[in-house]
This record gives sequence, structure tokens and C-alpha cells, in this order.
Amino acid sequence: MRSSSEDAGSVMSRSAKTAELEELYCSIGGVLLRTLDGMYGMPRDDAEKLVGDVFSMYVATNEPGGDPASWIHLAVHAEAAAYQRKQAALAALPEDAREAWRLHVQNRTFQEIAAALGVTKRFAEKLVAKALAELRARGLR
Amino acid sequence: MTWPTSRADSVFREAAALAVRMETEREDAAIVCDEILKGPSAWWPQRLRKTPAAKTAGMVQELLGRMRKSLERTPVDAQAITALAVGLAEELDAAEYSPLHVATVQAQAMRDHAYVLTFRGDYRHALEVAERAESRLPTVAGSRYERARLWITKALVFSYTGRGAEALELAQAATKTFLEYGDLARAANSRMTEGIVAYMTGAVELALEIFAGVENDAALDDLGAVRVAHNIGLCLADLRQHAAAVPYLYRSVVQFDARGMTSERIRTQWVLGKSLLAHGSTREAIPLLRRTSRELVAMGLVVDGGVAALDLAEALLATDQREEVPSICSELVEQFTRAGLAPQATLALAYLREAVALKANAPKLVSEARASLTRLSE
Repeated sequence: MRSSSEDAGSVMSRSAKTAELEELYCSIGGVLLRTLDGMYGMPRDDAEKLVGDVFSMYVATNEPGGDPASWIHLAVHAEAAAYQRKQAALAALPEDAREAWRLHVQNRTFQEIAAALGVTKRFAEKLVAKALAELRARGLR
Repeated sequence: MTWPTSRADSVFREAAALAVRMETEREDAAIVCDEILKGPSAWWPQRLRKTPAAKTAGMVQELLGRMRKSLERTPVDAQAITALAVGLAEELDAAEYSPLHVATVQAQAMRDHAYVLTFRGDYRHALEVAERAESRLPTVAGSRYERARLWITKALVFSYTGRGAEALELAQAATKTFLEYGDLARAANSRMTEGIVAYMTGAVELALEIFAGVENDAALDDLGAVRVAHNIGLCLADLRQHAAAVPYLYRSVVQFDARGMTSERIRTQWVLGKSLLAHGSTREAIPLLRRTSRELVAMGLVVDGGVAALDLAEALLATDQREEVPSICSELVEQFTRAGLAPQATLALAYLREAVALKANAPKLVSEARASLTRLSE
């Protein structure tokens, strides 16, 4: 059982943690989104998802090393570079495989992908497998 | 305060709320852990089951932190702790946190459990658990960092199971990822893993080159620096550069001792004793080898203790102190018989004892007895 003074201390540290994260997000969130647009030509939706995912992973990561701002900054750049390589790999795919992959990463089922593309479920699976093989061949997945 | 965007905003708000929750949970878990991890490890699962407040993601991460503190001193307890963490992580409710958060925490628990299993030599289970961890990890932006940490564990398992090329590839990929994320300390430790993998696959010169490359890396923590010194000493000893190896090994023995890392200190002390012996500093080697043999046996490592005793016998014979050798052999025969170990090894030791007493060709017999014992340890 903790004493009330200890509780008060932990409430303060929680507030400090929230403030620290908010400050970090406000100071670099916008910069990161502009960078993803300007430097990597990333569409706004993808950029927002990437930044959001990196923040979520930062929180989930147990004992990330280094300073939080630089971890998040560098993670965003590293992931943006990987995104660019992935886009190049996907661009090399036939349109149906590219579309199947886009739906697959949105967590659509093979049945749904098949319906959207007007193909059989088995063929939808083949298209996703083809995209995955291409990404793997480029060390991206 | 200006928020940059609506969608990233809402994801961030969720992440921030989770960060605060995790901090609270870790604080509570630190107290609960002290209570749960008391007494023999067999009691811990029952205590955990009876503590509903302990069923949190923060508790899983706190347990993983406790494992790191106990691994060197009590590996059996470390394994019990990560087993608890894995069980607890599997019961977490994704709706209560977020699917990404829960999957990441589960993968962390499995990764650390795999690491402990590797440390204890259970490579088959370590690989199974590591594979499960990898399949559990999310594939979103930012997850490559966690994946790289898992690759380090997998690289170690591969290096111990004859998959050296894959191990080196994984360790190199992990180093690259840590550098991309700006984590220089983990990148330096990852380079160390590359060195270990090279050493385990017999590429001792390459391993030495890698360890020498990180020797003065400012990003290494104190323990990392000790391990590098130890690894350099070990490589130099293997390459028969004993004069160069000895200062590195001496430094490692002293620093492992200062940290209470008994098992590492004893093994390094053994390598140091053998290097001194090979270097011709037999009188310095004798007390170290005597102490090593006794300490290994006291730890229950009878075969290793026996091999160290034969190193001692060799040193004694080299300095014409034959009279102690038969009693060393008698003691070993007794220990081996008591432990029910292979009769061939016991016979080789008994033969050596008689041969020394009769002043026969003892050095050759020491080699034969050592070969018998080494086969046992393999």
C-alpha cells in the first residue's frame, strides 16, 4: 500500500509525462508531416498514418534507446525511406496485384478483395502473394 | 497548444493516453512484483494468479526488467520470470489497450523468454518462441526497431545451432536498423553480436576485428565495455596471442567480480589461467586454475571442473610438482563416480593417476583424459 504523498508524487509525474509527450508532438508533429510531403512526396493520409504509427510504437516499445525526439524523428525518416522503396516496388507490379495489395494492407479479407476486383478468391490470394514476393525480393517485408 | 492534424491527432491522443497508463501500471507493478517474486520461483505463478491487479501490460514490462537483473546471477529464476511474462501477455485484452500495443508487448515477452532460453542452452525452444514473437509483431511504421531487437536474439540462436550465415545477416540488419533509429548504444551492442556470431562460426580473426572496432565506442555502457574486453581477450587467446590476451582477461575478471557476475568471472578466470599457462607463466596460472576447478564443481559443473583440474594437472607437471597430481585425479574419479558420469572418463582419470604415480608419460595422458572429458561436455 502506498502512502498518499507517494500517490501525489506519481500524479505529478504522470502529468509531466503527458505534458512532455504533448510538447514533443506539437513541436515535431507538423514538421514531420511537412517533411513527409516535401522530402518524400508522401500523400497526406499515408503521412498521418506513418506519424501516428511511429508515435504508437514509441509508446509500446519497451525502453527505446536515446532521446525521444530524435528516436521519433529518425524513425519517421527511416520508415519514410522504406515507404519510398516499397512504393517503387509496388509500382513495378501489374495494376491488379498493386490494388490487391492496397486492400490487403487495409486488412480486407481475400473474399472482399476478390469482390472488389471482380476475380475469384483464389486469384485474389495469388495477387497478394505476388505483391508480397516482390516486396520480399527487395528486402522490404 | 496547436495540434498539427486531425487524424495524427487522434492517434497521438490514444498513444499519449496509453503512455500515461503504462507509466501508472509500471509504478504499480514495481510494488506488486516485489511481493510476487519472493521465495522459491515455484510459488510465483500461484501468487500471480491470486493478484488480479497484476494482470496489466505494465506488469509484463516490469517482469521483463526484473529478468534482466536476475539473468546473470540466477538464470533459472530469470526463465521463471519470462515464462510468467509470456503467460500474462497472452491474457491481455486488446480492446483495453490497442491491438498494436498488446501485440507488441506479447512479442517483447516472447523475445525476452527466447533470450533466456538461449542463455540456458535450450536453443530449440528458444527458436520456437522467437518465431512466435516475430509473427506476433505488428508490421506498422516504427515496428522495425522492435523487430531488430528480436533479430539479435534470433541471431544468437542461429549462431549456436550451426546457422552462422543467417545469424550474421540478421545481426548486421539489426545494427543497420538501430543506426537508422539513432540508437547508438544498441547499435554498438548489435555489433558485439555480429562479433559473437563470427566467433561462434569459427571466424575468430573477423570476430577480433569486429570487437576491436567497438572497443572504444563511446555508446557502449560499462558492462558492454567489459564484455568487449572479455571477447577481445578470448579471441586473442584462441589465436594464441597469449601475451596480448592476458591484460584483457585480467581486466574482465576484476570487473565481472566487482559486478557480482560470478559465472562470467569464473569462466574468464579459466581462460586467463590457460593463457598464462600457454604463455609460460605457469606459477601464476596454477592458483587460478585450482580456484576455477573448485568453483566450477561447486556450481554443479562437474565435467567443466574436471577439465579445469586437468589444466591444473598440466601446469603442475610442467613445474615438476607431480606429487599433487594423483590426489587431484583421485578427487575427480570420486566426483565423476558420484555424479554417475561416463565410465570411460573415470577410467581415463584413474589411469592418469596411476601413470603420474609411476612417473610415466603424463602430459600425453593428460591430453587423452581431457579429450575424454571434453567429449562428455559436448
